[in-house]
Amino acid sequence: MTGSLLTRADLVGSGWVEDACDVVIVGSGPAGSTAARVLSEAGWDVVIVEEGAPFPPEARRGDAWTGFKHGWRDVSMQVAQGRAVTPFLQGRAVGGGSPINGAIIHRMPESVHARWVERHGLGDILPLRRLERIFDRLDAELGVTPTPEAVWGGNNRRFKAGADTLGWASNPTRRAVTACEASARCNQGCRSARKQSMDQTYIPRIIREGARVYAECRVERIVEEGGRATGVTGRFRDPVAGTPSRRLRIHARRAVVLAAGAVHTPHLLLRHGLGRASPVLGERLQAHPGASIMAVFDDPVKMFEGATQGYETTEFWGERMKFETVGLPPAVAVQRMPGFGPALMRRVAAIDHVAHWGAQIRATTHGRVKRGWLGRPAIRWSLEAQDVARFKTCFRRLAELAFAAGAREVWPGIAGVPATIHSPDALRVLDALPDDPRLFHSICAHIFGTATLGTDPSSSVLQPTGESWSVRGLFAVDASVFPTNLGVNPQHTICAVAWALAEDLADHS
Amino acid sequence: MRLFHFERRWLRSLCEAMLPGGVRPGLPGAGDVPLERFFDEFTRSAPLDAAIGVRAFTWVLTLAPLVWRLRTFGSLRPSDQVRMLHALEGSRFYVVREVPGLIKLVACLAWASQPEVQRALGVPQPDDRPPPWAVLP
Repeated sequence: MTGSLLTRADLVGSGWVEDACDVVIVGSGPAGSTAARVLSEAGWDVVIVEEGAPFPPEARRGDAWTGFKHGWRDVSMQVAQGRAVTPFLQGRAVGGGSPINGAIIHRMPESVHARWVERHGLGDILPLRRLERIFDRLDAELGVTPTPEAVWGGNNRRFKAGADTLGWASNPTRRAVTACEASARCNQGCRSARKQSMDQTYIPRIIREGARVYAECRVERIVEEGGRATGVTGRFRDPVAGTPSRRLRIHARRAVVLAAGAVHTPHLLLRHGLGRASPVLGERLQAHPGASIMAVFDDPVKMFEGATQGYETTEFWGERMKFETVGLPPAVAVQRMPGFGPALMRRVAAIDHVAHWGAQIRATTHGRVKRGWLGRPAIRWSLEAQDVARFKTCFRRLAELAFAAGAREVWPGIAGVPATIHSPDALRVLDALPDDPRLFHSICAHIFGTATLGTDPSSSVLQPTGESWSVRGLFAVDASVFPTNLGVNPQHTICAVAWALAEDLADHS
Repeated sequence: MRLFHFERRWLRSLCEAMLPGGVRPGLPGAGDVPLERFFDEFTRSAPLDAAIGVRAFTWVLTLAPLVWRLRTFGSLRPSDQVRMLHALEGSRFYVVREVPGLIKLVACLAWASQPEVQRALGVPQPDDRPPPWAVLP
């Protein structure tokens, strides 16, 4: 039996849309799609409900705004409130964040896994050997390979040159991309569908196996009967304007699985009233905040050609820092350039000579997700002093890298620091500045915690199996269940954890 | 949320000051490409707080020079407009620094999504058609 992908346009009329299945999965990102892939293969009848719309390759124009509007949550303007306003970037489309992320693949670091085992008691459910077996399967199914040299482009090449000069260990990024066309548009959606995102891989696969995917539908309520989750209700909406249309009710015979991400999974649980039973629900929000520099070279860099994020160094991973290339679309690149008016336009005219590299840190800051206004989640996050200090080190190292690669000047983008610097020493001025998150613009693109797994109901929201401590048949499998952040790009670990939890659900149900 | 006509005019004036034309032959400025319909597109699509922010910051930037120059932003000389934007960006107050930044983001999204701008910047274009919001009805 073949399933279907259904949107508002396919469901004209009035009244409830109803469906019944073994498992309903909320969210079609890497976690939800992977769980669906495993459960569908195990013979379960699967329904996915996805808030975002399909964002097919032919709709991907390649410009920033089109990508933001159709692929990113809140047109990329979801923010956390704190001392600074911090963008919390998430995807929202069929495939979740995978159609618009950098497709970067890292396995879970062993030291992080050891912590999950020792401090959070997850060794029985997620032994390293099991995760490695799943990573191998994922690698094969998603076409994971190191970025080939032919598609590095100038942005990645210069990064490598700088790292080599400084003697930093660096490598081409492993990515889930097949025959990359080097269009530098991963974050606007790959128009040639070379990225092996969930909408190109697991979702077509589960639909062939009979799954139904309801897109443009926001789940509003988890249905609970006799202490057991038995389904969800939601409403189809225009994903951008929010205009409501028909309602949806899904009856789930065996399980309700949340995979809406580390902001919306806890929000759904809070709306369901689980906050009373789990005081840590929505707490321990963790992330990998990122910041960046731009570097100007005498020779053309051509940032708009080549793999978007094709090179990285984990030389300083032990200090909770990771550096990588980030090709920006022109709109975001110009916005990131310093200044206004003719001076800005002179910089823009030389945009071909500009490289853009970023740092992400494994922050120790914790935030929280709460219920906000108008049925929306509210994110609270304020980068703490120790993480600001890490960022200062990151800026110094990025500048060092850029000048080692032959940059003529660097635009650090830090308040209180000259807009243009000509040597890494110019960033000594950072020492005199306070450890204040408002000094620079950081973004958070990897978000964890808020509905964590654990062995103690007083300090976790879910059992190690992913099932709620208080509602039977209610599971979560996305990054919200992670007890800590990772320090590396998380898609692979998210898929692997979802795979393992779904496998156990199928085996033990 | 939809901006009033005069607010779109104010916002356009801010965009033109940030991204002026005539700096390099062949590189259009914000004044050379259709922006107004993007403003509607943005305020309709963005979260309410961001849309309100754009409206509020447009008012702040446009009317702020009245305090010391008895003129609106649009009637300042271009060099004074840029000087004012730099002064705000360099403020020691975080909120003030953010004001020109949000408007610059809107300006860049509207301007750099235009095919003629991308062509001038040498950006390979998979789709040479103007974005839907830039096509006049």
